[in-house]
Amino acid sequence: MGTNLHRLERDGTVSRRRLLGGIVSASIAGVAGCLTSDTADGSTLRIAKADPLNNEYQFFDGVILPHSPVAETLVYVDNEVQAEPWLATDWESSDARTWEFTLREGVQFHNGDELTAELLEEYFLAYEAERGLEVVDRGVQAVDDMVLQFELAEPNPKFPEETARHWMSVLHPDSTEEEVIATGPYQIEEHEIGSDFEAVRFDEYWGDQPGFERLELRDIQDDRTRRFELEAGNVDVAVEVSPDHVSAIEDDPELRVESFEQMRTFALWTNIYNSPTDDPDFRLALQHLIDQETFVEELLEDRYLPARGTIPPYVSWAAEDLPEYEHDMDRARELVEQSSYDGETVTIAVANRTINGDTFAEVFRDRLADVGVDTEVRMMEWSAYLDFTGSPENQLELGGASILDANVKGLLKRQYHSEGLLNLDLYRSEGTGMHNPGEAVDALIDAGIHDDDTDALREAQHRVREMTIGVPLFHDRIFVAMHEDVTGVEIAPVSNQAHWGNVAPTE
Amino acid sequence: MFARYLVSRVASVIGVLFAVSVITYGLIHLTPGDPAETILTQQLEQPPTPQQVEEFRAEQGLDEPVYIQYVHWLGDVLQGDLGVSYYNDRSVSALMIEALPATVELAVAGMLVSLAIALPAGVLSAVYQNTRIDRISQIVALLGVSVPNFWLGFMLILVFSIYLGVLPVSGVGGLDHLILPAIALGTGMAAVVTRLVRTSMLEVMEAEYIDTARSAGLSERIVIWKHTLRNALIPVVTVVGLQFGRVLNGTVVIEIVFDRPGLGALLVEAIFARDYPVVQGVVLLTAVVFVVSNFCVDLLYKRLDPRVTLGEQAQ
Repeated sequence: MGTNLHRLERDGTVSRRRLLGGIVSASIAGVAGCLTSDTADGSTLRIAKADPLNNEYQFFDGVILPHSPVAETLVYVDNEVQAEPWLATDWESSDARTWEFTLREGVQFHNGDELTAELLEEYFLAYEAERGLEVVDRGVQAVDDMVLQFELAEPNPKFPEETARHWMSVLHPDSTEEEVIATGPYQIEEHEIGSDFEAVRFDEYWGDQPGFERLELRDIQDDRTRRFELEAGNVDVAVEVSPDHVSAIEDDPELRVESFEQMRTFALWTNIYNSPTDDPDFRLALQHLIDQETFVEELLEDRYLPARGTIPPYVSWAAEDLPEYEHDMDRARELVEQSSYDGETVTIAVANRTINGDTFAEVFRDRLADVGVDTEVRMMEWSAYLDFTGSPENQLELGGASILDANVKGLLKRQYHSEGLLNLDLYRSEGTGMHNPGEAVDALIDAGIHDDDTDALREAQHRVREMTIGVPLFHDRIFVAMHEDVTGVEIAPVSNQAHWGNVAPTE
Repeated sequence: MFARYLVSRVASVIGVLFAVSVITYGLIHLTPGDPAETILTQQLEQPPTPQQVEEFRAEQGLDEPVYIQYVHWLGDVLQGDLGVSYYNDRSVSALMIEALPATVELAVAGMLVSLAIALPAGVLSAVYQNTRIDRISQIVALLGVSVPNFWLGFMLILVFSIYLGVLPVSGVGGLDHLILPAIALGTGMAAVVTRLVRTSMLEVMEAEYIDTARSAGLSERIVIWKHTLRNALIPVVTVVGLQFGRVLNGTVVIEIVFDRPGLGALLVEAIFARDYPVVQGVVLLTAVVFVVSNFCVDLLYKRLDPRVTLGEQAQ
């Protein structure tokens, strides 16, 4: 019995060894097979980007189309944040309520159909009915073959600029979640909902033919992982690398980093309706805590443009010669002492996804401590941050003000007008707001938006700055890292729009 | 006896899942942040108007009291409907079914890695107690427990993907995409299990039947690997079973680092977006996995130790 048992065990042991050996051999073979299948052929442009809206399947199936090389909008946004022709070559309105867009001739959808106003009317109406977003307000109709008319509920002189938004991307009415039919330089070849996509060159594209035959777009959320993929040679372009990684990437002779202005201004925002930030002396003290040039130089390796106001200087109507406040800690201390500040703890709210937000907050916390102000820094997850900074309890918040279409005037309204979206709730419910100084500035912003009065807009910026509503810090940039053999990358200042079709291999 | 055990076990499972769902529902509603504001801000790329917020709340039933929302959700779940994501309008079940394979694949691979490290290391450590091998094994185990798995993940990428260029950085695909995430995930657990195997082995090695086995002339290899290890594995199985839940939680970070579209990544996005139905669905599924893995552990007990009877255990 004992002998038989031993034999069985021996037999069993041999069998298990063989089995294990087989598994190991198969695994090695599998790995080897996978490794050899993952090579780039040079004719494919591989892009890694992290889109905060990547899961927005309900709009475009997980692909942010205007950011992508697949779909296009009626207008594009140039480097001065001005609308320029894209699928529309011209637009006009007599009353800013009814807008007519003349479509570009000779544009084909990926399924071969010509771009016509009739198809767009059908698409936008279907889209509106299905999605329920107020894309077209009151109506859209084809005036003739190539002229599309939008009827708005209210006059909006900046409507053309707003059509640069991703949800105004032009799709064929036959588009489905599974099959996106658009007009871009690449057409989707394979795409599963929620995953990366592969596209091929669209031979009938109306513009110049793209420089690559194929394109792969990978959504990689973590910025380190995007950088690693680039360094490993698995992607050609990594969009939005962290500014902290730029120096290290630039050390690699095969890589380079380019940066592009973004319509986003980073600031320490003040709630002018809560104590102690409602006190002009306290707010003025905040202005003297830092010098923007030094701030950018020391904390941001001089990679950003120091900000004087909310609107970046490359916007044509940005106010010049805004008041400057010198870094002067003694003056700041004096102002705090003469303010109504009574020793309470002041909260600085920061969203935890803000790059270097904790470092910026610490700078302000330390400087405020030096002038006798007790502060607490509250790092919050995004949703909690939105909740807190929209409440009357908000005092100081570190964050960016941005707009994702060419309607920069809309940014001014959102931030500082009583009916602006950041102020509206509290203004209507309590007669207060957050950053809105009152009727005079409201009137200036209204004049700027409705009458295209750029002097009024400049005056509004002056008033806001004089009233020290927030400490502007820097104008944001986006960093794009790429291999030396790729050229033509250019990111627009809003919404990560890019002409990906212009990207080509280096000659 | 076994039938009674099963009935009692199912009843406790239902109780646990109910409690988990109530606690999760309560906690996520207590967390600051409004789904309407958060989701609309991301979708519209600007703060929503009060009217848009109101419409969203009405459409998703968020304007009702929390307990009513919970009752509606529970009613749907009992009919097999986990609801629809606020964020992308897709059914929660479909989202989880899409994400599940990548996570299960990673969790199983992580478990295998941890066992492949822990069993030999634990046994060697016990057999060569208080020698250099034992000390090295303990130091490695301590390091394994102490090192955060996301950091280890980045280090593995640096070494194997960037410097050596032999494995992919991220994504899903073949076996090669699984190796680094599985190591990053499995190492922490391997450290725990190594120490447990060692302790358990040392206890069993002092038992009389081991002396008997040796005096019967069995080789040391048979004594250690067959008689000692098998009996030492009983407490290890319990921990490994429970660790499976921990491994699932560990995938949350690993999936982000290695850009794997699994349940962990889905849960993180859902929490950030305050997408309550998805959070509830994923947490419920995780609870089910915990409960089922516990049940499997009990069944394994019986297999490893025939003296154990599940009915008695239930009593």
